[in-house]
Amino acid sequence: MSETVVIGFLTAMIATGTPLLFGALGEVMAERSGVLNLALEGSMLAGALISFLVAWRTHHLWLGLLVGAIAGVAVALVMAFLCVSLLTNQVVTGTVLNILALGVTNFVYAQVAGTALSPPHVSLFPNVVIPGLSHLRFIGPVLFQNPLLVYIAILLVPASGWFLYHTRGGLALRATGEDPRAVASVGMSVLRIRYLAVLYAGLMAGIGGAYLVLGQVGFYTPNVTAGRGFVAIAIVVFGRWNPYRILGAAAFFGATEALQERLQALGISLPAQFLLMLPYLLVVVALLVSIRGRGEVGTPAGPRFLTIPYEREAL
Amino acid sequence: MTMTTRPRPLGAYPVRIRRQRDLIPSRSRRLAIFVSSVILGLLIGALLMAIMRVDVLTAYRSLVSGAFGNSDNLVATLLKTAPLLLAGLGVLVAFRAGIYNIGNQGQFLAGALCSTWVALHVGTVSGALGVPLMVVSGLAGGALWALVPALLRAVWGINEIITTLMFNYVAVYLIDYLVTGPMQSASLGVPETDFLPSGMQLPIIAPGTQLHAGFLLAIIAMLLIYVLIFHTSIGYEIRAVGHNPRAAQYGGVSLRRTIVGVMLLSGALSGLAGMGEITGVHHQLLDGVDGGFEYTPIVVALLGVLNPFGVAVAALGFAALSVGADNMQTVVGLPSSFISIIQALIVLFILAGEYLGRLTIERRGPASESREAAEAETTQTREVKL
Repeated sequence: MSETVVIGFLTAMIATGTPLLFGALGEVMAERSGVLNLALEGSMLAGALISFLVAWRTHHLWLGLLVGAIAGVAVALVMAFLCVSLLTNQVVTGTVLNILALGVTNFVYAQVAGTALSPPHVSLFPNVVIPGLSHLRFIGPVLFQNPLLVYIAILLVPASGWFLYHTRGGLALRATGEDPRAVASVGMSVLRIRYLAVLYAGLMAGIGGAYLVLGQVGFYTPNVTAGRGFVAIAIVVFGRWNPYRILGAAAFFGATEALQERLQALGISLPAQFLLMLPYLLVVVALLVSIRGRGEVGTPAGPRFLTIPYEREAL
Repeated sequence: MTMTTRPRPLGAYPVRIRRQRDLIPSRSRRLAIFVSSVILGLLIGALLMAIMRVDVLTAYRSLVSGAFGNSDNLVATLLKTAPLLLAGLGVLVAFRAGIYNIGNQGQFLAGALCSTWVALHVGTVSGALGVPLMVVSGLAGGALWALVPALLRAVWGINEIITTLMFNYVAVYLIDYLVTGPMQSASLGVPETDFLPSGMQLPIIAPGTQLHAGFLLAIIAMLLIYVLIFHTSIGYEIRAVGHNPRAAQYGGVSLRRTIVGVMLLSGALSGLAGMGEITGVHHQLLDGVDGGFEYTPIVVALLGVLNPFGVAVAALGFAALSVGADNMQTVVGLPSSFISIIQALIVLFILAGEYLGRLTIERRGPASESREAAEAETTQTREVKL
């Protein structure tokens, strides 16, 4: 295989993996606090739509990103209010919120842009070429000629790892997912930690959704995220709730998506639909590989209090 | 807690609202929550319409008349109720066991695919056997699609939420591949399969209308699921696993068997819904046969508070909303996604209302204080995780 093909493939891998990485780095914090934030998909979709609409109307990509991130947080806020304050079932609430987000985004897009003759487009985030490093053979074009958000996503990996494993806040967060009563007993607020974690997940998902549209695709179609939020959740499981492993898992799924696009372009005789199925099937395979032999029946690995609402004890 | 030694008059104790952990809200209170959630959802809908300068009364009137206005509309509503009820029952069965099978869309498509394939390959069988064969193939297709996630969950504990959802996308692309490739009709020239032989189509139960036997199937399924869940030992085991898997396991229930059984039954019911749409409505397989049934069955099951009769009422209500929404779209130009927003909002309100349903207002007095102390001593029951 020629070098340009490999470089092209790896570049595409980074582009497709970045939204997944953002989502997964957010979700890992929510899950570490004990909240399975299934509304990640909804946050991502809201972020994608809102960032697109703002960028399209104002021609300011960064403004779009900002407002899209806020939209992701807004979805997460509803999730946090219901699951953390009102103690609702996290799975059910997340699922309903995703349905709501799908309905709202379809509705808003149809109202705002549905009547346009040709679907509106936006220009993509420009690549930021790192001086010097970008001239390195092979590594340069793959790693050092990307949009700014890609660098941010990659730098967030060690930052998340440092936060989780080397700060008091990270310890409190992990403890909240393992035993919220222990956290409460030393005077910290489980409620506050879980709110912050879920809102952070929404922020990251909003940015991920915004990157998908403003950094990768350039236009919006209804349900543009197509389950990427769920893939990001699978990446957290596959990466065993560890930011460094999550980077690897996100790269893997970015690669499947990139491979699917490449094979299609290369005219491989496999029907297109099978290539489109590939990432979804690989999620299932990856979950099997990562969890096999761990966790007893009915109790998958992960934070011990994942999905269990915490109710402050009456004093 | 320090107790005051000197007795105080009752009025001196502060009134406070507290949430009782294990209080199951009374039937009337749950009904009140349900009704107020629906009203709140419709009010928010009205507010949105007002913002969009749509006449609220005209819009809601067109919604109702579109759903029930004449016999054609009523039949359309009932036609849509059947698959929603069947798939909603499928979601119910799984959720009752605490198994979050949200792959009803894929299982619906698998049932549709399986029945189409059987009908086109077996051809017409002797009259009385065609429909039972279709029913069996629909059930089998749906169950088969749920089999892999079921085994992954039961044997390795792999989260079924993600796997069932991933299988939805696989099913959508598989159908797309088949109707544009191997199963595409040679004569029609469009991405659709041939029409099913007439012996394999569900009979019409109301002459002169489109209402087919799938409606009866849904009613029968509703009664059977009711009996299964509430009046058999299997149903008791399903509910026990949903309430507390570990306790159920200590009680001798096989978690693996229950998880697999529940998932297969759940998939089979969704598959039956897909079969009904093929053999009763479209009479062929094509892209988008699942339109309107992707996530709605989940919302229907939740709105029906996981009770078969509740699910039936919710299915009828949602079918009416979606059929009426088409009419509303033509009359006032509101897209049908508008209705799906209101549907999801209503369920969110009900979820939030469950919390409010457990609030009690009480006067704090010596009696309540000693009860609180006793409560504080009992260990907090841990809900068992997924």
